[in-house]
Amino acid sequence: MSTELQAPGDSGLVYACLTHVPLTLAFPSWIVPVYLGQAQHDGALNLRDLAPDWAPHHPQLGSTAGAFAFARLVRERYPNASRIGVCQYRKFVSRDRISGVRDPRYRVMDVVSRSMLDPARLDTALRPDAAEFLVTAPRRFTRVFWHRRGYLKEYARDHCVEDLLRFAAAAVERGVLARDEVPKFFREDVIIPGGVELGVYPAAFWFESIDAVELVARACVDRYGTVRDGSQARLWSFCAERLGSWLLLKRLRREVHAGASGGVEWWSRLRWAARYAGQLNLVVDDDRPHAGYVAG
Amino acid sequence: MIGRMRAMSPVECTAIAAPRGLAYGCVTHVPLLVDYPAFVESIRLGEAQTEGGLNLRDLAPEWEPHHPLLGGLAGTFAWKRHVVERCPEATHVGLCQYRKFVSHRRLGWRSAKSYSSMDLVSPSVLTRSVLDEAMRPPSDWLLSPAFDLSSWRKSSDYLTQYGRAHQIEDLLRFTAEAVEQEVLDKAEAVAFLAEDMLLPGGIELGVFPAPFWIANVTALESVVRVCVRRFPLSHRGYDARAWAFCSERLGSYLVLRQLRSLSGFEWRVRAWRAATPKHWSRRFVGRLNLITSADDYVIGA
Repeated sequence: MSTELQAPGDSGLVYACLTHVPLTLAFPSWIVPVYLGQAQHDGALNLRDLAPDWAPHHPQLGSTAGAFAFARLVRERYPNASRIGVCQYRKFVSRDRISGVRDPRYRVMDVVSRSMLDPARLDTALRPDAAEFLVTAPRRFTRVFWHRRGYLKEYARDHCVEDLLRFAAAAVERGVLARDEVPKFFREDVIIPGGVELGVYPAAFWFESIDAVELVARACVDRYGTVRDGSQARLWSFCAERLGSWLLLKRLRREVHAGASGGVEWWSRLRWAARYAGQLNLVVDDDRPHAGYVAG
Repeated sequence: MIGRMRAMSPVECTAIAAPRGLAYGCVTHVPLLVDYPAFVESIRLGEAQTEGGLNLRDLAPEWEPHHPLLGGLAGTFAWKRHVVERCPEATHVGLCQYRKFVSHRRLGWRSAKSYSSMDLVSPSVLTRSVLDEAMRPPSDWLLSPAFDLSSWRKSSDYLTQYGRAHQIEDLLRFTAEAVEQEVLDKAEAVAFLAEDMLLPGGIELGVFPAPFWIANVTALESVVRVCVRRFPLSHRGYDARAWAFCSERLGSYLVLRQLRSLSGFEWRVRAWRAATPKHWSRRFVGRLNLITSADDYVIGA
């Protein structure tokens, strides 16, 4: 199957690389680059052309706006796609570990030096082969079983908690989260970094999920004109990652016949991670020392 | 503990009959069921507003259009305005409603089946002299008994309980506004939603130290103001009263937060509790009474 991949849509796989900077890695020919912000240029697949309604909200959404644009592109040009892949200009999920070097701050992610990724190796690393899902390995916020930090508390620690509250309220209003699902969503202690915006997913699941996230994000940007500075600028993207992660978790737990909250959580996690989890990689420059991942 | 309030003219603050700097209001939208003591002033809402009375339309006209959705909460904001402007020397503020009040001793021996911490009291036994004695606070606070939302077999909290009874998105939005208005900080927002002890009536039923009550009702008012402006709910039927439901919970949390900063210690294992004599639960908790001849509590009846 892997040898058939030459162009987007081959083997039913449409794989995008979302970027707001000029690409410096030699991505394979079957990857579709989607450009955002300053990286947009004439003749390219730009956010402003694919989803002009999201272009003004790019600062609040980051690459999530690119995922919405990519969904429109796939619907238009690749209606027969069976699997969707998404990576970013410096992050991607591979089946196997490449460098074996963990990020000192974000242990679930490996740091890969740019020089290790010649075109052939990057091509091989990005191929999902026959995998139905290829997602980031799950991360638990807390390591002790008697304590759960959960999405809400973790979000409150790192971001502005009112944003996640509003996002969850909009998700309930739009029917994306059931009312009795909200406490479970807030208490969920397992996150799949990147949510539905990093990795490979079955097309039907991905469209359903990204449409749901888009619906909620639209409700939020329409209702709240919140603008934040610095590392908090991509507020709705942080929320979208958590909602995407929750939707993905529910699906993967169903795949191994565990309930929405995972049944015996660690056991179901072991089973679905063994089947579907790959390795999240961060590409770093060789000439700059990497002290640890900083979001944004 | 509580200084004697300087006498004022009845026009300024008719709460002069209160023994100790206490400004006590009764929020009502109907004719009163009992003869409340002289130190209790009626704050009149809706149809109960009369010429010369302490009316919502005069005290807080901006809240008057929202009375159908906010119910007694609009009266609380009006009463705060009255206390701030006309009773500046009040050291304590009390609040009851036309059919609910907190007493420092038990007055009725029937409990509401659907609300076990509420005593059902027939209006016939509530004479003015009985109420005069029972409603006087013996100390700085007089509160209705708090109850646990969790039990030995299940854990619950404000968020889960609200989601079961009402529309959960309203509490999420209300909490978000409370953070934005800096009534709660971001860690407290999480603690608020995870709180499992509820003080019925929140900050709108009982007796409180005036500085605490005024500051916190002002904070609550700022949150409700943003919510009614941002989220019109009038089409919602019963759940159109969401901001009043949310306010009860936020008021409850703000009171509990203050009480927990006082001395005393409590041990809790799920619903089982034991407290030292200095703990607030041993010093400030009275009885919540519902004035009714019926056998149970019916919301809004």
